[in-house]
Formats: sequence, structure tokens, C-alpha cells
Amino acid sequence: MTETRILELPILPLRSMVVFPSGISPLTVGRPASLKAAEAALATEEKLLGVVTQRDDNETEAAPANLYEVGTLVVINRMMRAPGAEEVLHLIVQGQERFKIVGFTGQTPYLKARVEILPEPAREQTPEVEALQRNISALIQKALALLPNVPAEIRNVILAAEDSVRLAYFLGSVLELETAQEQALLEANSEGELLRLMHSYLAHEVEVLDIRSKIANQTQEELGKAQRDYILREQMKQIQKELGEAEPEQAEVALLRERVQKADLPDEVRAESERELKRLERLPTAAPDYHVIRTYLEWILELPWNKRTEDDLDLVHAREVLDQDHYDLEEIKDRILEHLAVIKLNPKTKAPILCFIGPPGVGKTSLGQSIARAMGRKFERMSLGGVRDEAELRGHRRTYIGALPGRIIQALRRAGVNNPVMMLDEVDKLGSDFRGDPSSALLEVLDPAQNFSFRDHYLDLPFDLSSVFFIATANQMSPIPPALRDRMEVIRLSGYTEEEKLHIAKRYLVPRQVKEAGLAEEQLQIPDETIQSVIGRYTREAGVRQLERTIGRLARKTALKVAQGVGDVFTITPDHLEDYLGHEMFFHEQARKKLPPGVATGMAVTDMGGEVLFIEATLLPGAKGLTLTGQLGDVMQESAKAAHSFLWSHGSELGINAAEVFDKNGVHIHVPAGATPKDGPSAGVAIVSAMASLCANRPVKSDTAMTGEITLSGLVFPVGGIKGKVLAARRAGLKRVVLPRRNEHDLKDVPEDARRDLEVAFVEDIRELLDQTLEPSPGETAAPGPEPQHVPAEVGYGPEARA
Amino acid sequence: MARRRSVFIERFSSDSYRRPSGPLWQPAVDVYRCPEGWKIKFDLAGVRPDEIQVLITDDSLIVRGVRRDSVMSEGWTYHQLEITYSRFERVLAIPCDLKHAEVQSEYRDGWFIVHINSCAEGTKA
Repeated sequence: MTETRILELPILPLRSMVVFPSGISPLTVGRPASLKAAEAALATEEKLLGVVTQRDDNETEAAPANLYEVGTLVVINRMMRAPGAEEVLHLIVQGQERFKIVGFTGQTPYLKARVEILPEPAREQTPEVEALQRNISALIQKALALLPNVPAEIRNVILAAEDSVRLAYFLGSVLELETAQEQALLEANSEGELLRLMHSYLAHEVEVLDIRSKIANQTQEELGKAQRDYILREQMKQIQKELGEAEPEQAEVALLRERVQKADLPDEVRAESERELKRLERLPTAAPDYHVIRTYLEWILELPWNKRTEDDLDLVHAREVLDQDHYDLEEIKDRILEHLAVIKLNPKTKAPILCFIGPPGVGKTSLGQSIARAMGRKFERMSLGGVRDEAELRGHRRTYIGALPGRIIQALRRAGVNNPVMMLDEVDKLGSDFRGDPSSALLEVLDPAQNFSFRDHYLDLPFDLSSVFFIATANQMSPIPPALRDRMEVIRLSGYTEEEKLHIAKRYLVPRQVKEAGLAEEQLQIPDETIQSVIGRYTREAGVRQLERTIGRLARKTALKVAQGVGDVFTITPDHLEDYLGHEMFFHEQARKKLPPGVATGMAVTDMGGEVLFIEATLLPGAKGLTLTGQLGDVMQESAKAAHSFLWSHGSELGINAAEVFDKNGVHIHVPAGATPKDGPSAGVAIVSAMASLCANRPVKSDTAMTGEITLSGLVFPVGGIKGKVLAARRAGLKRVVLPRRNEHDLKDVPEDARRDLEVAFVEDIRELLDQTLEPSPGETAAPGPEPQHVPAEVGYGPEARA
Repeated sequence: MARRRSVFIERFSSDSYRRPSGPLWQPAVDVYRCPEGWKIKFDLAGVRPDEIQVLITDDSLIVRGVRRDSVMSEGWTYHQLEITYSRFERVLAIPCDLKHAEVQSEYRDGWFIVHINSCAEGTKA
């Protein structure tokens, strides 16, 4: 059948669909012209109809120009009218052959055209077609794999298809293609062209399917994971239920709740705990906040909100305890007993806030322990040395990871009661930098008016610190900020005198060190003189640490001898000390037997106790002014200048031709030992005595030591440290001391025996002073005095001496 | 029989037969075995015998033709259509030597019956 066949057919325009030859398609016919065309086809013997697709779907009136030129010849297989809607026809048509419209023969009442039947696309046997066929079949396999819902019949039809043209037509009707694409398939005149089109459509389709399936898979996976976790968790819960275990987080919350209910908490704290508990219950264990809240609640529960120890108010017992632990320190002991007495009378009294200031080693810290023991309170100590972050005292806010309360709250937790003795060691060594000033945080802690509701940043709840017995300690007063100083009751612990050290050594240090060395008490005998030698020549300190160490050395060396079997009982006399401890390490200035004019004996006080020092003045003929050497501080230099000026202006009134001397000579004043810094106004009297001695060429009395501040108008003002200074003068072998009149009352502090050994003179102005200090031999012209006595070198002279 | 003669029976070689284009409808078929050979009955009511064509290749029997609606008249309209018209074709593979078998056809009561006498030697068409 190669000859062209021309038919005349009624034409049914199709909207957005293409009927392929071999395809069976349902059609619904409603447009009047289409109805007429269908009726006309049905009226023929063979029921043949031409269907042609419209180019534009929206066009209701199908004009010939709006139709594609290639259509399909179909046979109407079934036809029925919709029940109740006679004007609508439902047709089932089967595609037969493709045709090309040659010309329209009528447009009314329906389209009629002469068509030329097109041959089936020519089968080709080229490698290209072969390749296309294989590719298409691979794509189909892939598409079917991606489409699990394709019915088995269709699957079989597709897979069993032998004719690739039929298959292409079938796929064209099955796949979701654009009308234009379907029409292109229909118009393909060769197998190659048809398959090429099909291949590209199919490839696109498979790609879309692939992506769709990937997306679906991903969604599925995500859903799947969540689902899986949920199921596993539920299963775990069930298992735990079966095993009789409550959910761990719930158990924990329940436990906490129980503890909160049982705990003795103030109302505000309880309310806050309940609130946090509620939050905790709602949180999963994995939430970061969970642990934060749990830790917070545990802190609240562990703090001694209302727990306290009962004070031991037995004054006699307290006194005994304090005496056992510490020698002397009467002032502090009295203060503690006073406080206990007040508590006895008024239990609600606020705890005092004490500050012990004293040199290292005088027992400030151990005193705190004794106080706690005497009062029957717990003792907590925290060292503030080097603390420079405010948060260390007051904690970090809970927003920070790993936040904790500050040291105050931590110490209270350790103590377990809200009225311990809390020792704030080294408050003078608090640092401060950009992170805040911890001493300012201490202000709140130490203010009795505020500390009943101390708020730690972490807790953010008021804690009553008013029962805490705070004791601060410091080596020096000056670094403590005034505001902080003002809040504390300062008690000064001066260094121990040699007598006190002797007592301490005998009563505490020797027995302790002997025991430490593993010796029996009687195996090591250390006489008093030996201890005094150790104190004076092997140690120089305010406290007794070094003394204790040195005694420890003696005890160990004895223990060595005992272990070697050299002997059993040892007595260490001062003569033995060099064998045990080596050469003497320290020397005290001793009184010089005869002083040349221009040298005076002054007295100074250091943390290690009093010292005697010499002021040496000499004239520099032809020079001008005043030269000061010997590491003198500003105050001492000014004191020297005042002495210089006073003598210059008032010398004549005192019978000293100072103006003339100073006019022609410069003055050099030196204070040995040159390496030790010295400061303070109290050397004023010694300097003026030395200069007056120089000008008048009358030596200063060599058995006399002096102290006192001078003014430019010639008055003598009182100074501190009288006790230490007087003791030092006595130790140095001097016979007389000259003191400012207004220091008379300080003499009470000086031990009785020292007062007995010394003659004391009090002066009010420089005239009186010079009467007391200069040798009374105005007419005698002394030859240049003997060379000044050798000044012994100082080894390891301690901190700054204050003259 | 005039009717019988009017059926055109044609013999082809398998290679030279080409299917007409487009899918055609297929009449239902009963196939009988009988002592003489085979009786094949086609449901072809409404088809004029002269429009039925029987083709025989080496191994298959092909019956084809056209069914036309001869009842439809001027002025009528269809209310329902269930009978399939137009061209049909049915290809049947018969397991016997068709080349040398005697083939006859008969049209009766709407049935089109093909008789294949496979036992006969030689052709007597």
C-alpha cells in the first residue's frame, strides 16, 4: 500500500491532547461543531473520524488555521450519551493511521477535510536507531524502578513491546508531555526521528523522576531518623517502666524537690527554688540549661541558710584557750572576751569585724583559729592575696558557662554554718584591675549595715552574713582602701620583743620542734641564754617563724647526733651555737664609747623591732648647702632641712654660731647603714643635735639616745614606737634616752626592767633637747675627735626602718 | 456456493506478508479440531462476505476485512454505540502444514467458518 490514499473525513478538533495511532483514548465531545462532526462520523458505515489537535487550547471555535496539519484517523469504538446531558457525547476512539490535511472541504456545520493518509514511520536498521532503542529501554527500566506505583499490566506491556514505534506512541500517551511535544511525536515521519524525540523526553522525565525520588528519599530519611529516635526513646521508657526504674531525669527532679521541701530555707529562697524546679521539670536532660539549674539548686540546698553553731560563752574557758595558743596579745584577747560578754547579754548583737595589722609571723592567722576555738565556732580562712577579680569574691552571674558562687559563699558552704569565724587573709594584697576591684566588693561584705543581705552574683539571693565573725589580716595599713579600713576595727600587732620571743620559744617553739625531731623533751636542753643568742644573732624578724626554724635546726642536728649514738642528752650553750648554726648572721648597733662632734645616737623602729642608729654630720669648708646620704626618705630629708634652717636662724639664741659656720661651709649628713632605706620624722632631734654639736664643736653625749620630731620653730613633737626604741637603746647598752614630753605616757608600755635600767629625759623644745644631749663643756676646744668607731656591716637588714 | 466463492482466499509466503498500518479490531474466534483437520469460527456478524479476505502463509491463517454499518439511515442519530466497525484483522497460527492443506470457507448465521483439511494430499482450492 504505497499509493497515496486520500479520504474525506469529518474533523474533530482536540484540545490539549493528541491521539496516537494504536492508542485508545476516551474523548468527551461538547462543542456544537464537534458534536456535529462526531454525529457525521457515526452516520458513516465505518465510523471513521479525523482528530486534529488545536494549536491553542483556549480557542473555543476551532478554525482550520488553528489546527495542526497532521492528525490521526480514528475509529469510534464506543459511544454513549451522558445520562441527563444528551448534548455531551462520550467516545472511545482507537487511533488507526496518521494523516495530513490536504484541504478543508467544509466548515459548517462541522469541519470537513480531505486528508492524505501518511505511511507509518519507516522502520530503520541503522546503528543510531539501535542505540536509541537500547537507550530508551534503559531509560524505561530506570523510570520503572523510580515509579513503584505503575500497574503490573502497563509494566508488562512496556517491557514486552517489540515494536519501538508502537512503544514510542504508547509512551507518548502515558508520559506527561506538553501538547506540542506530543504533536511532534505524531508528526515524526521516520523511526529515527521519533525515537530521538522520545529519547530526549524520556531522559528529561527520568531526570525529573530521579530528583523527585531523591527529594522524597531525603525527606523520608529525615523523618525516618526523628521517628526512629522517638520510637527508641519510647521503648527505653517502656523498658525502664518494666524494670521498675523511674525515668532518671524525673527521679532526679523528684529527689531535688524532696530536698527542697525538707530543707530549712528562707521564704524568698524557697520561692526561687520552686520556680527553678518547675523550669527544670520541663527541660530535657540534654538541654544545656538543665545542668545549670541543677547545679544552682544544689548550691542553694547546700548553703547553711539557717544553720548555726551555738557560741561557747564560758569566758573563763575562752580565756584559757586564748592563753594556751598565744603569749601576750592582751589587747586582742580582751577584745574577744568583751565580745563574748556582749553576746551573752545581747544574743542579737552583730559580729565584730576585726582587722589585725602586723608584720609577718606574729600569729595573726593562728590567732583567728584560736578565736574560733575559744568561741566554739567553725573556722574558715581564705587568702585574698593576689585576688583581683571582683567575681572571685562575689561569683559570676549564671549566664556564664561554668559560673560558680564567689569565695565568700563557697567558704560558707564549707563551714556548713552561717556564723563561722571567717578570716580574710592578706586584705592589703588585694589586687584590682579592669575586671573590677575586689576591695569594693568587700565593702558590702564587711559593712554590718549591709551584709545581712549579701547578694552573690551567682545565687542572686540575699544571704545573711551578719553572724559571720570576720577577721581581716594585713601586714600594712596603707594599701587598704580608706573605705574598707573604715569598716573594720583595726588591732595592731607589733612585733614581739626579745623577751616575748624568749617566752614564746620556751613555751611553744622548743617543745614543738623537739617533738617534731622525734626527741624526748629531756634529750635537748636549750638554756635561756642560748635562745636569746639565737634571737639576737641568728634571726632578725618581727615574728617568730625564723626563730622556730632555727630552733628546728638545732633539734634536727641533735637528733642526728642521737641517731649516730654520740650521746643521749644534749645541752646547747651559746658557745655551741657556732658549731650548730655557723657564724652569727646579724649584729645590732652597739653604743659607741666616745662620739666625735657631729655624731648623735638616734632610735628607729622597724617591723623587726627597735634599732639604734647614728647620725653623722660633717662640715664641708667652702661648699654650700646640705648634702644628705644614706637612703633617706623624703620626710627624713625634710626633717634634716628643717634642722639646718632652724640652727641657721636660731643658732645665736642658743649660743651657737651656726649662721657663720653654715655661711662658710656646706654640711653633709650621713646615716649608716647606707644600704637600708630610712624614713620618718623621728630622727629630727638626732639630726639637730648632730648639727648643733658640729657647729658648737661639742660632742653629743655618747650614752644618750634620742627620738622626736622637730619643727622649724624649735618644738619637739611626739613620735611612735617608743617601746621598741627604748628596748633597742637598752639592748645597745645606752644609759639615757631623750624623748618628747608628749610621749611620756607611752613609757607605760615599756617593760618594768627596761625602765629600771634607763634614765629617761623628756623635752619640749630644741633648747631643752640640746641641754640634755650635748656635752656641757662650752669652753673646751676639743681636738678633732678620734676616728668614728667602725660601723659594723649590716647583713640582710630587713625592710625600711622608720626613724 | 456463491457465498463461498465470493471469499477471496490468497496464499502468501511468510516473508512477503506485510501488516496493514494501524491497529485493527480483532474478531473473536473459536478453533475446533475435527477428524478432517481444523474448523475455525470467526464472530463476524454484519460483515459482508465479499468484504472478508482470507490469507494463508506458511504457518498462519489471516482473516481480514471491513465491517460497515449498513443499518444506519438518513435522519437517524446514534444514542449508543458498542459494536466496532471498520477494518479488522485476525492472525492465527495453526500447527499444521497449511501450504499443502485444503482450505475452504463458509458464511452462515453471522459466523464465518474456515475449514482446513490437513489430511488431504495436494491442493484442491
